[in-house]
Amino acid sequence: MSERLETSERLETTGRQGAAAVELRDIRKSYGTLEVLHGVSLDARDGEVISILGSSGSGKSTLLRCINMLEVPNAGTVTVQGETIRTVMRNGQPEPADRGQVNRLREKAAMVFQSFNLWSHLTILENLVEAPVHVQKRDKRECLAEAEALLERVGIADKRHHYPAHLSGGQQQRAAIARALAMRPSIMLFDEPTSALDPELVGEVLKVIRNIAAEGRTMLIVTHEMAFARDVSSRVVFLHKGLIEEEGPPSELFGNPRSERLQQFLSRENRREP
Amino acid sequence: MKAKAILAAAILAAAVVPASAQEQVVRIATEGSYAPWSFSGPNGTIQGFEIDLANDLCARMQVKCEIVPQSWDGLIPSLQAGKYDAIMAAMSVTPQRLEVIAFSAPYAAGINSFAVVADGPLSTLPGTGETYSLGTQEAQAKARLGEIGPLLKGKVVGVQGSTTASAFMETYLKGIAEVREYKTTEEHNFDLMNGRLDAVVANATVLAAALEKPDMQGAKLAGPIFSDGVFGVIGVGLRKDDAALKTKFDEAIKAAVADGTVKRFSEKWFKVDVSPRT
Amino acid sequence: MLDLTFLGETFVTLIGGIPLTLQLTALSVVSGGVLAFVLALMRSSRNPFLDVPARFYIFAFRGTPLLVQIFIIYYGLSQFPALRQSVLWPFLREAYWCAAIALALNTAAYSAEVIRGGLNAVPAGQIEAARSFGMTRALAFRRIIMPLALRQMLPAYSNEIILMVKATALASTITLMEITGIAAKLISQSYRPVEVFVCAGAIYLALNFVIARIFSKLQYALTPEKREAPATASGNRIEEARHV
Repeated sequence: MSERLETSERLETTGRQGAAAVELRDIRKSYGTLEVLHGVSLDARDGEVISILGSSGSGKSTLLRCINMLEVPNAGTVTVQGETIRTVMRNGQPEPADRGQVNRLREKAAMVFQSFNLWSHLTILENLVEAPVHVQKRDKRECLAEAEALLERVGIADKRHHYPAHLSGGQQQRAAIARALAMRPSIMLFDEPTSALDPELVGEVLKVIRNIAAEGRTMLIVTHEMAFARDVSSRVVFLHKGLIEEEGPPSELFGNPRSERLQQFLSRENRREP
Repeated sequence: MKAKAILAAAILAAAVVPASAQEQVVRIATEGSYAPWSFSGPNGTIQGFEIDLANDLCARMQVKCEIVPQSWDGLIPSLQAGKYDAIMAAMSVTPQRLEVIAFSAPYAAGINSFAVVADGPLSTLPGTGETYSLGTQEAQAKARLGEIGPLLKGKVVGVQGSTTASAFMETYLKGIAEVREYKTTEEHNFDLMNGRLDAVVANATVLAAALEKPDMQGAKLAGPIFSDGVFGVIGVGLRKDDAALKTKFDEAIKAAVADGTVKRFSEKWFKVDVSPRT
Repeated sequence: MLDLTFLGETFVTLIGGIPLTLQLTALSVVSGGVLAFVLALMRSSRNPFLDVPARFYIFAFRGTPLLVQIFIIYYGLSQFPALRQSVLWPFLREAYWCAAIALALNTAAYSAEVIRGGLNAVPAGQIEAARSFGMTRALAFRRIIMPLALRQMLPAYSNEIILMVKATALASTITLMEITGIAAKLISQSYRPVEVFVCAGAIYLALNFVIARIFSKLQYALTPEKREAPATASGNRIEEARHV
């Protein structure tokens, strides 16, 4: 009960300038003796689009996965829409204290994976209605109609009865985005959504993400697409070796990077871009 | 140099001499699990009435014998395939078998009986202690079987598959009891003791020997002993085209029967004389 | 040389053994399959009290000949008077049930490993996606993991069923008159093992051919994603997706 009270208090205090959709406090994560996140704190307000940058091994994907508990932090707290996820240590490993709470959180924060992870035994349409029908227990007819509309929106309505293996990478990722949207999530998590794509397919996926960002949904995006991040984000976070090195509006980070590491990172990334 | 050459010649001669002596090897197949006819002894070597007899016959025939155990089912096919030259496995001479193989002169008579558990429903079969020849006393035997038949109704009787015991059930008690066929008599004896079977039919000498063992305590022979007829006489099974070996076996067996050797071995292993009465 | 009349008669007689062969196969595959599923879950558990007994079971039943298992169940268990007086005896008294039990216990050990292999072969990303959408473990297992595992393990499992059809031949050693039992009897009457075994072999071959066909059809039906893409559906209506 006390937690509920705390939650509503927080909502009130943060309500004026947009409630905090995600609050990460001092997140630490280790694998064995190797600590990859050394205490990261990050807030995302409702409607914010945050791009998380960093070279490989910086811990940016791990940080994103901590938000929906695909990785359970060893220390620190994750709070989503005012609800703090409780964790416990079991046999030296951190685990969620209440799996039901985590599953409720996951319905709100839908994830798009680097390798799409569409369920290979289901058609595209079946992929879209699977979780809404079986997790959210929504009416199947309504879910199907909504799924059709979403496929229309991401431009692959004609593939609805195809299986994932029949689609190109770009089409699969657009389907995966539609699948996430079908959950009606308030938060979208993108884990390097274009990194597994052939260069000529990146554009179509970024276009879809840009389109969603315009709707005002809270989004956290781990990406290597600098131009896209600059364009779409309200805020950019640069992670280096498990710590936030620099954060701010895209114009500031890209236009006037302060830390030497960010400067090096940007010049490297710019060279990579065609 | 000379010494070495002589040594080499000697070795060569030693290797060649036994072969040139042309001692014939006769491979005899037996069942090896049909005590006391042939069975594995405590030290794993095969022994029994037929082993003693085989060794005696081979000595008479002046051949070298190799006695090899072989499962009952495979005996005749293996003989035909040339894996063995002779079968000594308490095998009765039947018209059916005579179609595919030849038999030597008989070295024993087939006598069969029922065995039951003493406290079971069949403990008192009529005719216990009597002996009937299915050849010369078939009418009397059938009269006795007419009394036994109703008692076996709905009962389960075990026999060793494709033996004269199964032919006996087929001929005289067909459709009365449920007959189950086993690979060995040991297996059907086991099922008699654990209650899966109400009775077994097998060679009386084999049953008598098995009943002496502690694990068959509580079982006994019941009903008459039957001989001849379907049980016939027991001879050495041979390939039809192996007339020379048949002649040798015939002579050796006749001599062994005549001089009482068969009777001696029979009394040693069976306590009774099973030697053929021709 | 070839006696067609004899072959024909033998064939007809052996066909009489098919029902018993198929019964033993079906009984052992179904009940063994259920046990295998439980064993596979135990093996996948991190709890040693579940994992270790399952490991031992699989080791014991895969490491000993099926013939030995049949003999232990048929002859071995009947040695205990307590068992002969128990409620199980009406079953264990019958060679039929002893054979079915031995075959089921044996196939359970092999099938458990097939199922476990199928479960392990499910790509981690597919499971992670299920979890990331708020599926409980049970729901993810039922909707995602099991269907994918089933598709993975089907070829190996059809193999196991074919092996079981052949393994039923050992039931003839405990007096059952299935195809091989009848064949043995025919041989002992005719002393013509070659013809009889050729007929028996042909019947087993036919049975297993049918089973293999059924499984390949099933595999085909279950993996539309491995076939060519359907023609792009443009005018399909929502109602057509009702099978979801």
